[in-house]
Amino acid sequence: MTQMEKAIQKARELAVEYQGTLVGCGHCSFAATIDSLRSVGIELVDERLENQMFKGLMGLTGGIGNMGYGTCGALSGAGFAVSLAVGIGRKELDEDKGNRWISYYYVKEGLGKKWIEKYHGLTCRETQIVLFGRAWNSRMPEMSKQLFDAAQVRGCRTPDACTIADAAAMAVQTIIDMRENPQDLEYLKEKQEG
Amino acid sequence: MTREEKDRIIKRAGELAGQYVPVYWGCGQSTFSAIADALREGGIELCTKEDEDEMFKGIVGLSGGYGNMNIGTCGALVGASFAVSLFSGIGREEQLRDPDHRRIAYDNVAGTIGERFLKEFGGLRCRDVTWKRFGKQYDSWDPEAKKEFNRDEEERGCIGEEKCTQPMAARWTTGYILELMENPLTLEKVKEKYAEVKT
Repeated sequence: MTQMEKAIQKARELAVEYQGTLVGCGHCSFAATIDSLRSVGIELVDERLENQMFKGLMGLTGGIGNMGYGTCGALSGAGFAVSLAVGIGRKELDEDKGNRWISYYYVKEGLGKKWIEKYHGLTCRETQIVLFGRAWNSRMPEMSKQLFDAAQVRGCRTPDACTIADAAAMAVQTIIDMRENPQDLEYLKEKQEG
Repeated sequence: MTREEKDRIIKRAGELAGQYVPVYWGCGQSTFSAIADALREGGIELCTKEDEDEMFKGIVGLSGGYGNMNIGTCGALVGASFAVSLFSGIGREEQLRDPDHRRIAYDNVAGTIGERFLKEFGGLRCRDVTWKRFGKQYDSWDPEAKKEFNRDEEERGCIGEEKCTQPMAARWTTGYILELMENPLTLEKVKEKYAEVKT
């Protein structure tokens, strides 16, 4: 089994485990991505900082604060991990503000486009509609419970069927691909900066 | 904290966001950093400056409605929500002790900046915001459309601390965090709300 295969399998397993213990798509997809990479020797951040980021990502769960209208939380947590791995910070933007397109590129290509192929959109509600044929307003406690019940019935709590696992697996694949074969993005930057 | 002190911090968040947008040129990271830096100047530390700089790297890719795709959550809202959630302070330890803790972060975000965006813009996505503000939606990966977006922003005076979405989001969110400091949502309160429907 390659490093990539091991990390992806671990990400899927951790995503399901964390959804059972830490509960919530945004922080669980992020933690599964970071922890699975760590398990194969790739440490994007230490455990203390990971927990700080976990705190910030929690509120992006369920399409922003469980409102459903925003980006799927699993996709947000995974996208945050990919962007973190790309590593464009203040210093890099001070040097060239076009560098931000490198983060955008990997998030879009590695996650966003794949999500659209499967769910026809990026939001929590669009994702739920494809998975369940309906979407629930999780701000209403009874609807939140119905969503959890539907996920259970559908068998979502398994590594191959869990949406959080899918997002974490995509993030791990994108990050390892990027580290092994970094793209030449000069053309992309020039094109986008016009 | 006095009303004047709060207003000074809120105003500063808007100023910083106005400064950061043309330098860092991304809605998520500019908004988040403006909120964190203004609060820090006011003596309230959401996180260390070093941690903030690392979080910034993660938020960059969520800007512009997810990888600048425009169809995900508005980046300014992402940065703002991240700040509110970070303030809420629910980590692994709290979740393992009682998973209902997560509802503090969810409700803090939804009940403040989330509802504000819905009210102001009719939605949470990047395109919802530009539709309301500019009467247009753009594909930021189309170079011509991206240029037009930038031109529209400049012509409307949106690059600046008053009208720009990022400074507005930074001011609103900083105000909400200061309110939450005085009236925190507790585990007991969320448990009461969700008592009948355990998930």
